[in-house]
Amino acid sequence: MDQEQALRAEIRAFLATQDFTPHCDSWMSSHSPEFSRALGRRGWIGMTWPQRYGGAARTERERLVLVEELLAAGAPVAAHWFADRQIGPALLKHGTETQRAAYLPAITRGECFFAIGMSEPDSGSDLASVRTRAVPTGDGWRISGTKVWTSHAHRAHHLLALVRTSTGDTRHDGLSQLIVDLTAPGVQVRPIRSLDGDAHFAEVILDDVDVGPDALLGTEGRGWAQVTAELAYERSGPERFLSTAPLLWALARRTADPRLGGLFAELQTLRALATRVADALQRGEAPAIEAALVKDLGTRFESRVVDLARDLVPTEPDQHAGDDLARLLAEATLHGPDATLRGGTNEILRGIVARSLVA
Amino acid sequence: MGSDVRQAVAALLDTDPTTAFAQLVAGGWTAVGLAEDLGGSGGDLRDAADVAAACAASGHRLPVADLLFVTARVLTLAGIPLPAGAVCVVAAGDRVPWASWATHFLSVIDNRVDLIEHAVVEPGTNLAGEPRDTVHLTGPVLASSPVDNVVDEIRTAGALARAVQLAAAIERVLAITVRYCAEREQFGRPIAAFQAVQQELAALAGESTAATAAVDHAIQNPTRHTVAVAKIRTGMAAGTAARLAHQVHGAIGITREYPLHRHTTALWSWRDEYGGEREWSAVLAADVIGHDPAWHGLAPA
Repeated sequence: MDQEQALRAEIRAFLATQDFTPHCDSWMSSHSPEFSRALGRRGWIGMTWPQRYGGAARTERERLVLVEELLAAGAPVAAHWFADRQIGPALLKHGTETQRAAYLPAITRGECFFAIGMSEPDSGSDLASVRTRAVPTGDGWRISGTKVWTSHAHRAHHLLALVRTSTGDTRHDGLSQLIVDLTAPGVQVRPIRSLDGDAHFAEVILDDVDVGPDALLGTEGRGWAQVTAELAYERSGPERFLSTAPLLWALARRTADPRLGGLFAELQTLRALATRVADALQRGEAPAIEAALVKDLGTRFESRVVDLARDLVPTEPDQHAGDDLARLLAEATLHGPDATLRGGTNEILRGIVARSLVA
Repeated sequence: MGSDVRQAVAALLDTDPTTAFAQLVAGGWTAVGLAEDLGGSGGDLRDAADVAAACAASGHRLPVADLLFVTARVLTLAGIPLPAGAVCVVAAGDRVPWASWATHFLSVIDNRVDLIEHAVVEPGTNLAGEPRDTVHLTGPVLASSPVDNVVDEIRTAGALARAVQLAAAIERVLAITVRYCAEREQFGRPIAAFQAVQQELAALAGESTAATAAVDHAIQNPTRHTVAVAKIRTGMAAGTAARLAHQVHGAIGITREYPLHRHTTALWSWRDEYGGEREWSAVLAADVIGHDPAWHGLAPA
C-alpha cells in the first residue's frame, strides 16, 4: 500500500513537470509520441512486463495506480495505450521469443505503437463474422480485407489483425491473429473523421498484403480464444470510468454541491472493482464477466458526470472555449456516444453477463 | 475465514426466526467482533460482516447487524462490557431499531453513554416489519462512560451495518431473480432467453457487484469516507435492484407468498436508515471537495 502511494506521488510529481492541456477521453483523443517516450524513459510503459523485455516487473496494482493517475490528469496517452494495455500481454502470453524481442522493448520505449484490427464494415458486435482472409503462401500469409474503426491506425506502426485463416467446425474456429506492418505494400490507411472533427480512428485496407511466418501470434485457428482473453484487459481498465474525470474535477472547483458525493461514491466503487480485476490479472486469470461489468457500470457513470455537470453549473458546451468547464463539457458530450460502443457495446456486454448467470 | 463464517451462520438460520436468534445468541454469533474482555466472542469486522450478511440473505427479521456493528461499536468506545445474556440496543433518537427485542439499552446524552436496564417501548416498524420503536428509558443506570463524537460514531457504524445488509440482500434478490428467469416460461421458452430480460438481469448483476465491492472495501478499510461510499452505493443499488427484480418477476413478485418481498421491503427500508444517499453524499462531498483537484481527495498519495 505504501509503495503504491509512493508511486502515486512520484507520478503526480512527474505530471506536474509535463506541459499538456488536460482532455476528457485522453486515452482516445490525445496522441503524443513525445509524451509516450517520456513515460517510457520512466519505465511507465509495459511496467508489469519482465525486465528482459524492457519492462519494470511491477505489479498489476501498480499499473492500475499509473493508469488512474494518467487518466485523472487527462494526459496524452493515446499513442502507446493499446500496445501497453493489450498487445504486450498478448505477446507475453502467446508470442514467440522472436516476436517478443522484436516488439516489446520498442513498445516500452514509446517507439512502437500498435493498433487493434478487429471490427470490419460488416462485422461489429458479431466479431466472429470477420471476412478478412489470410491464405498461406509457403513463406507466410497473404492478407486481404478491410478493418474499420481501428483507433489511431493512421499513427501506429503495426496492426494486430483478427483474420480468418481456415474454416473450422464452428464459426469461432479458424480465426487467427496476425501482426501487420502498416508500412507494408498493399496497406492503405484512411483516417475517419469523428463527429468532434478529429480523426481518432481509421479504415485499414489490406490488399494482398504479404506477411512472413513470424506474423502469426499464437496458434493458427485459435484467434477467437486469444481475442476473448485480450478483451478482459480491454474492458476492465479505469479508462472505462475515468474518461470524463477532468470534467468532474473542473466541476468540483466550481461548486461544492453535495450531489457530487454521489458521483464520488460511484467512482470509488468502480476503483474498488478495478482493483479486484487487477488482482485477478495478477493471478493470471482473464476475468471476462467482471471486465464486462466494469465497462457497463463505468461508462454509464461517465455519462452521469455530464448530466450532473449540466445540472449543477449550467454551461454552454464549447470545444474552443477558454473556460475549462465549457471545453471539458464539450469533449465529454461529443465523446459520450463512443464510450458505450467501443470495446463491445454495452448491450452485447450485458448479454454476456446474463448468459453467465443463467448458464 | 470469510465464507466459512457465512456458511456456519446460514446453517443456523435454516429454521424459524425465534429459534434461529436463540441459536445465534447461544453460539456467541451476536457478539462477533466485540473483544472477549467486553463480553464478546472476538473476531474482526470481516467476521461480523459475514454474520450480518448471512442473516440479511436469510430474509429473517433479526437484530444481528445492529448488535454486531452499532452496539459493539458503542460498547467498545465506552469500554462498557456487555452484560451476560443481554440483548443490548443503542437507543439514540427516535425509531430505535429492535428496542422491543432488547433487555438492555445504551442511551446517549451529550457525549456520555449510559447502560440502562429498563425502558417503556412503544412499538413501530419499518417497511420490512422490523421493530423501529419509540423508547422511554426508565433506568437504572448500570454503567456510564464519556465517548467523543458518539453520535457520529453511531451513525457511521449503523450506516456500515445497513450497507452490509443491503449488499447481501441485493445478492439474494439477484439469485432469486436468476432462478425465476430460468424456470419461468413464456412464448414457449424460459424468459432468460429473451434479450430484453437479459439486459435487466445484467443490470441487476452490475448493481449487486458494485454494492458488494463498495462494502468489501469499507470492511477492509473502515473510515467515514469508505462507509459513506458504501452506504451511498448500496442505497443507489437498492432501488434499482428492487425495481428490476420486480419488473422481471411480474405479478408473482408482489405477492406475500413469494419470497421476493421479504428482501425488497428491506431494501426500501435499509437504504434510508442511518442516513440515505443524500446525507452521506454531503459527508463525502465535504471530505473530497477541499482537495484540488478533487481527485487527490479520492486517491491520497
